[in-house]
Amino acid sequence: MMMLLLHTFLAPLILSTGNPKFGLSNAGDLAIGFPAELFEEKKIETQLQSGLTTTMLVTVVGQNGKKVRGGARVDIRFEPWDEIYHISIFHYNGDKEILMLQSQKVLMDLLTGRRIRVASSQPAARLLVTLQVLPFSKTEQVDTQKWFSKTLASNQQGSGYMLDLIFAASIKRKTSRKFQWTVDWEP
Amino acid sequence: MLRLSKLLSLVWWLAAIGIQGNEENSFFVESIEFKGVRYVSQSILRAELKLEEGAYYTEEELKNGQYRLDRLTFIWRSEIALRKGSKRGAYRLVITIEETRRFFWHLETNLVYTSERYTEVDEPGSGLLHLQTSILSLGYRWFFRKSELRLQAPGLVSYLNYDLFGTGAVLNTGFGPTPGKWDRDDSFGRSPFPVNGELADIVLESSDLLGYISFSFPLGGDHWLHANAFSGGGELESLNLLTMPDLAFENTEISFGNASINWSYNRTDHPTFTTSGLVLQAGFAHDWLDFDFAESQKPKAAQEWVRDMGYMVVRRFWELSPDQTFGIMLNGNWGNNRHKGVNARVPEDYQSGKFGLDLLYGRNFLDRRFLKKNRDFRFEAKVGYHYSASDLVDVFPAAEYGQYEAEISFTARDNFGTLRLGLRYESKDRGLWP
Repeated sequence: MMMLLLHTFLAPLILSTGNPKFGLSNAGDLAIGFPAELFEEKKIETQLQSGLTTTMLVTVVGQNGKKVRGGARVDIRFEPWDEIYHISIFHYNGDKEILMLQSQKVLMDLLTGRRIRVASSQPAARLLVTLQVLPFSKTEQVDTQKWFSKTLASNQQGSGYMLDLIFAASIKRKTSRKFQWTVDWEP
Repeated sequence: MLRLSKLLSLVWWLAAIGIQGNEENSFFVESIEFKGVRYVSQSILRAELKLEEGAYYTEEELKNGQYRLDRLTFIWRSEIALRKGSKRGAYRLVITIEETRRFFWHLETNLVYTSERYTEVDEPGSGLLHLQTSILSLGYRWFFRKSELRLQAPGLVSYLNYDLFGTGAVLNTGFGPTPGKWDRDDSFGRSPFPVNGELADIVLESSDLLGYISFSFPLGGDHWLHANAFSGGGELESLNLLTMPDLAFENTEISFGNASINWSYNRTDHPTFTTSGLVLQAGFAHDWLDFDFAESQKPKAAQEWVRDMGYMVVRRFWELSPDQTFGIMLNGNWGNNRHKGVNARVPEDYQSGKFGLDLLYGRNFLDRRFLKKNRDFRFEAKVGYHYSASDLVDVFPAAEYGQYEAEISFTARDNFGTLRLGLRYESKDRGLWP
C-alpha cells in the first residue's frame, strides 16, 4: 500500500519526450516543431490511425516575466480509403490552413518541421510549451477557444479567468495525452 | 477602450472558429466488429453500443457509442477505429475492448471522527472515532446472450438483462444475504436520550436478506427513467449494552423497504473517476420501516414508520486541467412522515427534509502504470454542509440542525476491483432522533 501511495503522489504527472524546436515562419511569426519520438508512442500512433479526428492543442507561455502567450490547434484525420491525412491547422492569429497529406512521413515533416505558428515574433525567452492530444468532439471544439481566450485575455486577468472557467466547463472528454516542456527560444 | 476592443475581437473569434469547427464528417458503417472479447457476450456490447450496421454516423455519434461501452462496469477501456469496408465509402467500425475480470471486488472504508453536541443533553458535547466499512463485496460474474449473472459473497445472486424485450431497457434484480456492511447507520445515529449520564450509538448490526428489482428505461440521449424497489430485514443493536440495558435493542427485528421512481440525466466522462460532466436526478420515493421489539422491550418507540418524499440530485464537474477536477454536488429531499407507535413525544404526521452541498477537488491519475499493469488512481478532498429540518419544533429543540463535513480520500481501481480509503471529520448538533 505504501508503494502504491508513493507511486501515486511522487510520479510525474506529465510525461515528456525530446524538446520541441522553434523557428521563424516566412511572415516572421514564432513557429513550433514537435519532437518526432512523440508520434512513435503507441497510444498516439493508434489514435492518429483510427480514421477519426485527433486534435492537437498547443499553448506557449513565456517564463520569468516574459509576456508571451500563444497557441495553435491541429486537427488530423486519416482517411483509410485514400490512405491520406486530412489536416486543419488553426494558427495563433486565426489563420486556417487545410491540407491533404499523402503519407505519414509528410505528416511527420509537417508536425516536426516548425510550420505551426504559435505566436508573433518574439525576442529571446524561456517558454513553457504544453501539448494536449484530444479525441475529436464537435461539442469540445471550444478547446481552441479556450487557449484563444487565454491568449487574447492575457492582460485582463478578470475576464480571462472567467472565460477560462466557462471554456473548461465544456470539455467533457479526457485528454488522451499531455506533454510539457520548457524551451529556451533564441531568435 | 483597449479592453473593449479585445473583448469584441474575442467574440468575433469565438464565432469564427465555432463556424469553422462545425463541419462534420459522416461515415457509412457497413459492419461492426469487436476485438479482445473474452468473457462478455457480444449481444450485450451491441445492445449498449446502440449503433446499427448499415447506417450513417458522425464522429460524435461513434464516440458516444464508445462512451456508452466505457461506462459499463465490466469494461475497463475501449478503442474505436474506422477501417476500409467492402466498397468505397463504406467502413468497418472496429471496437477493441479490454474487459475487467470475472472475479471482482470492492472495498470502501472511512475512518470517521464525529464531533457532536446535543441540545437535549446537558453536557458540552462528545467526540467519537470509528471505522466505517461501507461496502465490502467480492463476486464473480457470467454472461450469456444479453444477460449477466452475478454471485456476490456471502450469497447475493443478481440477474441483469441489458436489452429487455428489445426495448433498450435494463433490468437488474437480485435476492440474498447482502454483501458485508459493518457501519453506523446515519439514519439512527446516537440516541439523544441519556441513560445513567451516557449516550448510546444505535446501529444497524446486520441485514439478513435483501431483495431488489430495478428497471431503467432509455428516454433518448443520456436521459433515463428508473423504477426501483427493494425490501429487506435486519436486526437492531446498540453499543454500550452492558452499561445501558434500558437502551439495549438486541432481538429487535426490523424490516424495511423502498420504492422509487426517478428521471436522470448523466453525461459524465468516466464512470468512477468523473472529471467533467453533469448528473441530474429527480424523483419520488416511498420508504417504510417496521420495528418488531422483543416483548421485554415494548413499548419503546415508533413501531411503524412511513415516509413519502421527493428528492433531487445535481452534480457538476469541471476539468480544471487534464489531471485536476472541481465538482459541486447538491442534494435535497423533502417529505411527509407518518408513524404508528407509542412514542408520545412525536406527532403521528410530520414533515422533514434535508439539503446538502459538497465541494470537491480531485486529482486524477488515470491509466498510470504500476506493478506491470495500468491502473487508475484518484485523490479527493471534499468539504460539505448538510442541513436537516422538520416541523417538530415543539417536540425537539433541535428540529433544525446542520452538519459540517471534511473528507480526504484515496481511490485505486484496476480491472479486478476498487479500493477506497478515506479520512472524514463531521461536526454536528444533532438533537433530532430518529
